[in-house]
Parts: sequence; structure tokens; C-alpha cells
Amino acid sequence: MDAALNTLKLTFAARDEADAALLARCRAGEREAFGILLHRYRDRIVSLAFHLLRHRDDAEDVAQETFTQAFTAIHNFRNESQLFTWLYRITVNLCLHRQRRAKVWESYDETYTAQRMDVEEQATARLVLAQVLDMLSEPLRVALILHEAHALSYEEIAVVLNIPVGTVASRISTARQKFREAWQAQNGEEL
Amino acid sequence: MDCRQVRKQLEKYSDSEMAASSMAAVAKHLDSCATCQTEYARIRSTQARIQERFEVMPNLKAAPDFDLRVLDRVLPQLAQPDSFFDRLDAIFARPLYKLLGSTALGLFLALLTVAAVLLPQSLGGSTRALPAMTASTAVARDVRTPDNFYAGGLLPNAAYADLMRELYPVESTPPPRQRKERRESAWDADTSELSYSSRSGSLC
Repeated sequence: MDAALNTLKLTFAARDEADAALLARCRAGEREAFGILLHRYRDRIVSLAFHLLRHRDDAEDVAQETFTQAFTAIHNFRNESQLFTWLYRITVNLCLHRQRRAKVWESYDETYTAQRMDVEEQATARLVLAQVLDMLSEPLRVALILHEAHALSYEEIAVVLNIPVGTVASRISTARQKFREAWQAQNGEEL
Repeated sequence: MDCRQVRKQLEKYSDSEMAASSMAAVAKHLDSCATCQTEYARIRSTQARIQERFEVMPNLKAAPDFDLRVLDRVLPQLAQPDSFFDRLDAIFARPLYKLLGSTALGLFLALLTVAAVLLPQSLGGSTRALPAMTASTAVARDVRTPDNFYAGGLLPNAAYADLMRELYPVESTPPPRQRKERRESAWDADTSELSYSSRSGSLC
């Protein structure tokens, strides 16, 4: 009962308090502030990692690493961008690093494939989507996932990927075109 | 806006990624151009279908003990902040700062070397290069020949002389034989420059 009440309190606190205020409290070492920020962003970060890696355990690992890196370097965060774009940036970098490393490690690649082929856990539609996304280059795939699955604006994606807004617009446009072509090639039907 | 300009912007327009004034201009054009309306409808349709495909993407939730595991990793690190020297070490461990730091140190030492050679000359008017010796012997030597050093006017002559005597208790008038030996020594005269350059070379 107490635990449920605490969770409820935390939820209301998380809704009310702005990130900047929470960051200030984090810098002062308040455990509760860390808890609220975790509660606010953990699912989004875990989801993003999962969308990029498609491996549940790895997504959890990366998400934990993201928060660990962010919180231990919280004094370096200048409120020039939003906190969540900073968290997204760390997550994307960690995921891409892990993916690139996976290409070298054969054992990891096997696990990755096995996970993808596990149709019992994932619907066929998800598998098809994953296969089509695999046909896109890494920059296009990441931009499209951030835009379509996470509803980030061009400007937010630009901050996350540290590229100009114009480049984001161009990547998303190209990614959509390639996605449509890949979909047709994969499924024989026009999107 | 003409059709060509509008079509370039349609995707951004559809994503609502334009300034309000540009959005209004495109909307105004679409109201009156059937061809661009068709193109816009095609773009909207493709975007909507892609978006539909993404809807099946699963949104994973963090494990119940996620927060605890993160805090267990983070809080101990925050509870024991690094000492000033640890943080300094961490800063200079980064490649860029390491490079900047060593460059700055090198420049500082080079300047120090140049100053050590030139300053006594400018203060005392002596044309002889400063031999490779410690600061204390150099100062002590100047005490013996106060006119050269006091020209700098850093302290009243008497006060400075008292201070030097207290710090470096040397004989005010050393035996003439000893002074002669030092002046004729190869260490003082000829090898001093070699000694300095090799020192600065190794340090820089």
C-alpha cells in the first residue's frame, strides 16, 4: 500500500516539476529528483534502445548505461537543450556503437538474428517492418525511427544527432522514399 | 509561391515543419492549385501508410527494478565526489586537454628559460649569459655585486641586502681566489648555454 502510494506521489510530482528544477535538485544530490527523472524518461529510453537494437536485454543495458552516464555527468549538462534530447543522443550513440561492434562479433550477430526470427514473440508485421528498416542505411533508419516511432520534430532530431535541421529534413524525405521502395521489394505490394 | 516552390516544401508542410508564414503561403497555393493538391494528397497518403507500419513497433517498458539498478550504479559515484586532483587528472586524461596541457607546460618552461637568461642581463646590464646554476647562487652572486642587481629597484638596497643575508648567509666578500676560479670555470662561461638548452630540450 505504501509502495503504491509512493508511486502515485512520484507520478504526480513527475508531472508537475519541470526538468530544469529537477536537474538542479539532482546536482544537489537529491535521490528523489533522480527517481522522478528516471520515472519520466525510462520507458521512452528503453523503447528507443529496443527500436534500434531489437534485443530486449541489450535495450535494458543501454538504457541503464544512458541514465548512468547522464546522471554522473549531470554537472556538465547546460540547459541549452532539452534533457530528453540529451538522453536520446546518449542512447542513439550507445546503440550505434553496440551495433557496429556487433558486426565484428559474430556471436552477437547470431543472437541478434535469433531474436529477429523469434516470431512467437514478435508479430509478423513487426518482423516485416524490421526487415524493411534493415534495408535502409543507418543514418536514414535512425532518423526515420526518431520521427515516426518517437514523434520527434526535425529540430529535436537535429539536436539528438548533432546535425543541421536541413540535413534532417533531407534524411527523412529520402528515408521515406527508400522505405517505400524497400517495402515494395520485400512484400511485392506498393505502399 | 509557384508550383515548383510549393512541391519542394510539401513534405515539410505535411510534417508541419515550416514557419507559420510559409505554412500559410503553401496552404493558400493549395487552395487554388488542383495539381499540387493531388501531389500533396499522394505525399500525405505515403506518410500515413509509413506511420501505420510503425504503429506495430512495440514500446518496451523498463523492468520493475530498472530505477533501483540505475540508482545503485549512480549514487555511490555521486556520494563520493572526486578530489580536486582526481578531477584535474580526469580532465588532463582527455586527449585534447592532454595535448593543450603539455603544450602550455612546454611554452611556460620555454618562457621561463628565456626569462632566466635575459632578465639578469636586462636588470644588471651584464652581457654575460647566465650560467647554469641554481637561483640561490645567482642571487648570492648579485649580493656580492649589489650595484648590478639593485638597478632593478625592486626593494630598497639596504632592505634587500638584509633579506638576502638572512636567506642566503654567504660571505659578503668571498676570497678572491674562489671568485677567480668560478669565473674561469668552463661550467660558468662556455657550457652554460649548452646546459640550458639541453635542459629546456628535455623538459619541453
